[in-house]
Amino acid sequence: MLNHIKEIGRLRDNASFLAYEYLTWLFLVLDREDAQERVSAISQDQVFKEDIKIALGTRLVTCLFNHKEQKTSVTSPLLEESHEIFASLRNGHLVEAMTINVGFSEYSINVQLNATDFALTAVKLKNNYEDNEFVGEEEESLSEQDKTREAVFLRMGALGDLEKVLDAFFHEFLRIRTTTFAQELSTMRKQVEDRLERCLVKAPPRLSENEPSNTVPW
Amino acid sequence: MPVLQGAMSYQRFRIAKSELTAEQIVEKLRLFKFRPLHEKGDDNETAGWVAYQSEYDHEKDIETSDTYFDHKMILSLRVDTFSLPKALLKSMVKKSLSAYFRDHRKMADKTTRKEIELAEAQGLRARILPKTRLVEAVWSMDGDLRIFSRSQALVERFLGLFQDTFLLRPERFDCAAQSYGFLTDNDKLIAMDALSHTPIFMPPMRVDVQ
Repeated sequence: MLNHIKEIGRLRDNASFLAYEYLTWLFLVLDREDAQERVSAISQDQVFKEDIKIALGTRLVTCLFNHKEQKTSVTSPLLEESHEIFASLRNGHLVEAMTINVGFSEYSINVQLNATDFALTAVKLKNNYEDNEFVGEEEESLSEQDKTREAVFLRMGALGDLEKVLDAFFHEFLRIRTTTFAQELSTMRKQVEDRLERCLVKAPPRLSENEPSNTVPW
Repeated sequence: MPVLQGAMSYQRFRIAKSELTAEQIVEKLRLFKFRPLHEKGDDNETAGWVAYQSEYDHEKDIETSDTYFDHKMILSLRVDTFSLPKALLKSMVKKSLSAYFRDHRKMADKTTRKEIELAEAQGLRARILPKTRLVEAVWSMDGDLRIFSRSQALVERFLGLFQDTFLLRPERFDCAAQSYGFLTDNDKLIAMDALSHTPIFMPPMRVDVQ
């Protein structure tokens, strides 16, 4: 028992980079075109749900692993279109925190993943139980204690499902990290370069200084 | 009330599987029940368990029916802290010392000064309300513990009281604990030792201009 605690303590001191590398890997996996197939493959058999969908959320923070005070924080409805994220990754940053949306068949969960302490923050559960008109009548007939029991059952059940999916992704990352990470790393590098190039091509061209401008100077 | 409504922020912990029944857990909670700070007391902080959903009613007994739902125990920790506004206390002490000088035609000695400070602090303490902080946690009987707080100090306080109450120490289920579990299950702990941080891209070299 003591040995096990000691080993975990050692990992906590020496392998804190894993959490940052994991979030960076997860961001890039979710940014790829085949993201949904990958999500299905990893989350398969984790929970008794038909299909699990994971999409990037609206907030992401990157930082330099050795200088964590140097951060880039991006809030955007389309994180994957953000040039700043890919530029910061190209400059050696890793993802420190990011929001994702995990969609189950009956509800979806917005959650912020944090590399610093692996805490799950700003977890927002969206379900359609409240919208159901029949539930309203049933709810009135429930006692306070039953309502609490129901809320605990639904909310904690949802958190349990979320944790199972996230654990499956982390285990997949660890499997890759201890086996074929060199290959994955080159894929990630290429992805960042490509996305950065695409973002720059999309941006309006700048006029060079020597090029005569047709626009009125004022 | 993050357990029942609104957004949730929590940290995951694991506890060795316990044979305690819900009634036994509640009995132990009662032993470490919250006791409020006394206005004439010396303590500036107190912490203890309170009945879930009646956190501000410290006289209410903790019942199994209030805390045990769907094989999960909802724990509610209340921490009350007295924080005296130092600048105000200093000004009040200064005023009293001036009054003492006016009445006795001499400066207050060290002992008198201490007494004045203590009397003013107690007077101020009786006039202010303690700051109350609540921490909720859900303990599943299969060994999972979710603590709904991200404050390190509060979480440590919670863990300390939890250990005193149940003689069980919850272990943080973070990146390191999850990695350890995965690596030992797959006989890869040795492979882990060989790992080092591999950035996707190296950060640009910093050149300090002299």
